[in-house]
Amino acid sequence: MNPKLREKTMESLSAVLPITTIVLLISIFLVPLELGSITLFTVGAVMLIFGMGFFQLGAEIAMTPIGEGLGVQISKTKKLFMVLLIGFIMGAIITISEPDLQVLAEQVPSVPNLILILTVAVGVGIFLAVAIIRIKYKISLSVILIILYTLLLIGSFFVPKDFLAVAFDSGGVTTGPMTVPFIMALGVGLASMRNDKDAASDSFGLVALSSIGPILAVLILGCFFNPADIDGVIINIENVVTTRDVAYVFAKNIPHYLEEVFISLFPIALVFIIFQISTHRYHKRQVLRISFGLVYTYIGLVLFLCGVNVGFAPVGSFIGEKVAGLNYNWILIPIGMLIGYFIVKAEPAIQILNHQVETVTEGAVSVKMMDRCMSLGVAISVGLAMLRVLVGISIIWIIVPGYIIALLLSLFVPKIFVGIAFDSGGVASGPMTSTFLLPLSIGVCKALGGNLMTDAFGVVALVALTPLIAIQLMGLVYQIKTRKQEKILIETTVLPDDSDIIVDLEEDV
Amino acid sequence: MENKQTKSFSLMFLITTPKLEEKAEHIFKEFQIPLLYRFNAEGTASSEIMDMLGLGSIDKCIFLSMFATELTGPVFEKLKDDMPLYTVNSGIAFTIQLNGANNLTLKMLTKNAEDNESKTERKVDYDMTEHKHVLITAVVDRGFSGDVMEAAKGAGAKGGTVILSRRIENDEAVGFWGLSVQEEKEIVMIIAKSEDKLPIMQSISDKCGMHSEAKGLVMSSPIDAVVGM
Repeated sequence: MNPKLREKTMESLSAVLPITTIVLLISIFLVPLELGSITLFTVGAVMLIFGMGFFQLGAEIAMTPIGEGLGVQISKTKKLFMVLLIGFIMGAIITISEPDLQVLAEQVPSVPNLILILTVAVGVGIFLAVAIIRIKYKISLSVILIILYTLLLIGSFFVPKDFLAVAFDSGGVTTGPMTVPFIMALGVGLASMRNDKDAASDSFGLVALSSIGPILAVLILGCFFNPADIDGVIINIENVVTTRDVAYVFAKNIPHYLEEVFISLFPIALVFIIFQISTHRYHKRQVLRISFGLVYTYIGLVLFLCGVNVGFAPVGSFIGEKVAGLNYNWILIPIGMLIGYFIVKAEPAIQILNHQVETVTEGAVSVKMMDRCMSLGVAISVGLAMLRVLVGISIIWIIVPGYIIALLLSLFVPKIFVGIAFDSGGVASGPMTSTFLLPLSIGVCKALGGNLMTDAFGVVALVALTPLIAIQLMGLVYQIKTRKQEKILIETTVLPDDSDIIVDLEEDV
Repeated sequence: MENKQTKSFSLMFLITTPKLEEKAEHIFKEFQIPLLYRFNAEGTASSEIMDMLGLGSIDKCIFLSMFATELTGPVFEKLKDDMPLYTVNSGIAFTIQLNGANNLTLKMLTKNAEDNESKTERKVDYDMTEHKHVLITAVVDRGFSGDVMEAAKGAGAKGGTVILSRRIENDEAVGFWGLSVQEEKEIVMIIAKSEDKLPIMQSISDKCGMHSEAKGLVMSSPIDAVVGM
């Protein structure tokens, strides 16, 4: 087997299989599922595996080179206005093309879809421009983050309570599988033109700033629109009995995703064409490669989104509802944590982030370390989310202290960990979160008769929050370790005076 | 102030896949090698079609380390047996003679050689003098490493490794010598038999040289010992 193909297959298997197994085990021991739903779920999982593989490959050979190329070109541009304009346009385009944003728009029924999408796009556009300026002028990420999040937290007190959870969710949702590989590569491209010691750490942070835009946008909208009750998010459980039903359900849904992903990918293809015509950056072979990559991305996203929406979402909502109905429904918390631990691995953008981190840090922060940190972080957030639905604590009591801790940490940990951490928040909360975890908590909320707007929503926001703390803590541990080593070094070794004298090993000629 | 030293020392490159990284680290640890550095690289594509399908190149990592030349044999044996370097696609290692270093480095390496004395007793003969292999290095514009490898394979090369890099600005080189303006480069490293050296270099130069789109430069340098060919 081709080694690359094997590598990608292993990657997607190890991403999707664990969460599939967990759900199957839950369905055996806790909540018996009908065979029809299980078949739907299993077919969905298979689609996820293939979709994930294609998507990763596509991101690697298409999205990354395009993003990196644009980044390099932007950093060569001398005119500040042009840089800002390109940054703004790219941010806006890529946001509009994010499939997750459509989902979010439907979830906020009180605001017309178009207004919401445009506002969020403008928000991301502005903040991407800010992020580019930051890299160019070497402004500290943590300073900008502290200013912006303080604004956010202050703003959150003036917004109707019902809007709060959705607003913070939107930040995580909009930085999905389309945005992440592209924006991350853009950052690498931008930073690659600098030679100073902070260049590596400054290649991160773009996703972080981009996910503040949507939160702010929705918060502002919340001041003008009155939240209404949600009816749109009720998930129908299809009545599937035979194998033909299963095939029918998928066949019925596929055209929708074919169209949706096409609309998403089209602007990026267009940007690539315009970019290539105006700069001639890529030669024939690379253009062909990127074209193949775009096709891969298309196939991958269609399979992934269809699989997760048709196969996973109904099961999530069903499990939530049934477990909440049990007498010992506190079990939701450990179950949620277990699901959270394994579900991050199946987020398509996570592996791209992990890979990027390993490459940029030359292996100092390995994929394994990132994986463990993300899993622990998300396990805690899903646990908290379940606790919240069960007890009904307002999200503000978790979000505000959470961000304060994250921001305080950002002052102490090494710069590169700040960038990685704040990026990972947006990355962790992708389509898996919004199509499995959200229905799960909606299911729980419905069974308990809670308020959907305040209790069920917010799970995405929590998933986007904990990695910030988890990864920065990893950075702190890393720093303490190196400090300790340095101390030992200084105390024990006294360098001999002749250490720096050069010895010639060449034999006399 | 000049010091003289009797021991000789080598610089070793080990090119392998990330999957075998831990194993390699373990082997280096066994020899208590004090200086070990790693960086990322990419493999080269197996064919043009595979390359365009995105299935061409796999990730690789390069270890750079220094030790007394007498350790080359034992280290190579260990790498060959444990990695195992004789299988396809697992990696390659080669050494280059060091001919100068600062005192502390040498002291460290000498101490390391003494610690490993038991391992060097069993002499393994790695021919250091005949220079049976060379290291061919080609520097081309970003995206052309596939073409370089194709040209090299046509002339007998087996495989290569790509390091993505960026040329640091030098106006004279660009203006006077006509080097390409593009700063992003790919450095292709190929280990080849000495007798294949000229054909491979000529082939690369013909297809990806300065007159082509790739704007390539080609050079070769001697290496002492190789394992994993």
